[in-house]
Amino acid sequence: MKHPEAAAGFVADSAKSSWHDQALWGVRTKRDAAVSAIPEWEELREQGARIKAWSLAHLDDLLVQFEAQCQQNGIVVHWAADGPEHNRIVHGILAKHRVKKLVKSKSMLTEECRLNEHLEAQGMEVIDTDLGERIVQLRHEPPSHIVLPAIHLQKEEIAETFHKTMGTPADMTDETELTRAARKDFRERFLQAEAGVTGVNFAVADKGIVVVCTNEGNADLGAGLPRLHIACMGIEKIIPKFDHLSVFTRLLARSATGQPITVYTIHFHKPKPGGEMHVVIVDNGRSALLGRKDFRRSLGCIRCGACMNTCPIYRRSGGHSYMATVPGPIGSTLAPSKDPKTHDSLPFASTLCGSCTDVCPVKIDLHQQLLAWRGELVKMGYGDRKKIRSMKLAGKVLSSPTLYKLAGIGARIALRGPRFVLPSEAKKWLTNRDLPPVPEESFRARYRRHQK
Amino acid sequence: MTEARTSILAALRENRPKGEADLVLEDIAIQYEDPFVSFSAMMKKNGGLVVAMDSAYSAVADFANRCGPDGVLLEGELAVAENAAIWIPFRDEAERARPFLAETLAVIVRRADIVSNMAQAYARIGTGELPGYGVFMAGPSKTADIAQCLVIGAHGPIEFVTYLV
Repeated sequence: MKHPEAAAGFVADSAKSSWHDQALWGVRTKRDAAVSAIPEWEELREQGARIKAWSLAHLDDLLVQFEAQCQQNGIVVHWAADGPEHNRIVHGILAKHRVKKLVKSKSMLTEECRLNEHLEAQGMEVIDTDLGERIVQLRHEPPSHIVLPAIHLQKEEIAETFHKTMGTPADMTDETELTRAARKDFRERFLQAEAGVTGVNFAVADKGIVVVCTNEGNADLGAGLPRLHIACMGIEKIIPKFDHLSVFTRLLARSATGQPITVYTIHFHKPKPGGEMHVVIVDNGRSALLGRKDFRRSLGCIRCGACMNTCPIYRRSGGHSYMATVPGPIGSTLAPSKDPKTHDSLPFASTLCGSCTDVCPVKIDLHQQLLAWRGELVKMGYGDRKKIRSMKLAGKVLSSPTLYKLAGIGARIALRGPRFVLPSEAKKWLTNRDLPPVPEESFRARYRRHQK
Repeated sequence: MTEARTSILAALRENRPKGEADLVLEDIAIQYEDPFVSFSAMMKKNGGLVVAMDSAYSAVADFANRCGPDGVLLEGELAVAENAAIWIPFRDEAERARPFLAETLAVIVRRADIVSNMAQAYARIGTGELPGYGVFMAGPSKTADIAQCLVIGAHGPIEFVTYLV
C-alpha cells in the first residue's frame, strides 16, 4: 500500500484529522517558545550538526573506544549486524537469567527490530512502560509518533482501552484519573519484572556512558529495580565526548516538546551493585546508509520528532499512514534506504516546504533528501507511474511557449466549467478545497494590452 | 571478537566520509546574571516547588513536616539555571530506584551550586570522578500521552520540592 491510500482512512475523519493537526501544531508552538528563550539557538544547532558530522566520520574509532570504556566499567558489550541478530542476543541474555517478565522503556530501535514479537513468541512477557507505548501495546497497534506514540488517539478511545484491559470504569475519561490508574497498574509490573530493557539517547565514547532521557521516570524504574539491564542502541547514537552531552541535552527536549530539558536525564556508567548491564550495538542497514553521500546526514537524527510536529502532511495524515517504524519527514528519508520498493511513496508525501529542515536540531537537510530520493527512486524504476508521466508532460509544456499558451487557454476554459467534467485526479484534489476564480485574461494578454 | 563486530567496523571504515575538519566548539551557552532567579522560575514552570531555606538543617526539618515517612530526601550536587535541572550522583552503594518510587521527592541544593547552563554543568561534573549512575532531575514526573493533556505524576514522583540553602 502507498502513503495516499494508507492515509485515506485517517483523513476521511476530518474532525479527528484536524484535532490531530492542531494538537501537533500546539507542540510545534511550544517548541518555538522554548527555542526563543535561547539567544544562541542557531549556533547551538550548528554545534549539534558539527558534532554529529564528526561522529559519523569517526564512527568506527568511536565505537571501539566506547566498547573499551564500557568494558572497563563492567558493562558487557554486544554487536548485532541486523534486527534478527539483535533479537537473538537480547533473548540469549534474558534466557540465561531465566527471565519470564520484563519491562521496556521507549526504544525505536527495538520497534525497528520487532523485539517484542520475538520475545513474546518465546514465551516472555514484555511490558512497554512509556504510557503512550503501553496504550498502543494494549491496542495491538504500532506507535504513530516517536515521542508521542498514542497521539493518533483521543481520550475516549484510550478510556475504552483501559476499561477493557485494566477494568477502569467505562465512563472514566479524565486524563489525570486514567494516568493514575495506569500508574497503579504499572507499579506491580515494575516490582515483578526480572529485567529492564531501555533504548539509548546518547552513548558517550570517551567515558563509556549511556544516556537515556524520559519524562515519566519509567526508564529509571525499569533499569533501577531489576538486577538485569539491557540497553539497545543503533551505531549512530555515539557522541565523542562527555562535554558534548550539554549540546544535545540543550537541543533535544526543546525541539521535542518545548520543555527546557526532559524531567530525567539518566547517565548509566556502571552496572548497579550486584547487577548486570549489557549494551547491544546494532547496525541493521546503518553502515550502508553511511556510504550514501546524499543521505548519510539522516544518521545524525536524535529522534526529537520536531520534523513530524511541523510537517503539514504528517499532521493531517497521521503516523500510521507512513507504515514505517519512524514516520514523518525523517522516516521518509530513512525508510527507502532500507527498502526502496516498499517505501517508494514516502519521499512524495511531502510538500517540500522545508519546515522540517528549519526545525531540525541537528540541521539535517530533510527536504533536500526527500527531493533527492524522488530522483533516485524514479531512476530505480519505482514511484507512481502517473506522476512520472504527468511530470514528463509538464516538462514538455513548460519548455515550449506555444504549448504553454495553448495549455493556458485550455485550463481557463476547463476551470470555468462545472467541476464534474474534470479528470478524476483533479477532482480528488478538489474534495476539500477549491481554486480561486479563473482570471478573465492571461498574463501575456494583459502584458500586451499594457504595452500598447 | 564476534563476526558482527568485525563486519560492522569494516563497513564503517569503508563508508565513512573522509576529510571531516577537527571539532572545536566555542563556548556559546547563555549566562544569567542571577542564576537563582532563573532556576526558581524554571522549576515552577516545570511543576516543581522551590523553598528557600537558611540552612540544610531547617530544610530537613521542613521535609519531615511536609512529606512524612513516604518522601525521599536527596542531596543535589549542582543545579542549572537555564532549565532547573539538578544533578544527583548515585555513588555505587546507593539504591537507584528508591527516589523514583517515592510520591514526594525533595532535593537540597546549595544556592552557590547553581550554574547558568548545561555546558558549565557538564564541565564541572566531568572534572570529578563520575558516579556509577547519575541523573539530572528537573521536576516531578509527567506525561502528556493521553490526548496531549499534561498530567503531573506519571511513574516517578508526583511532587518535587527543591530546597535551596
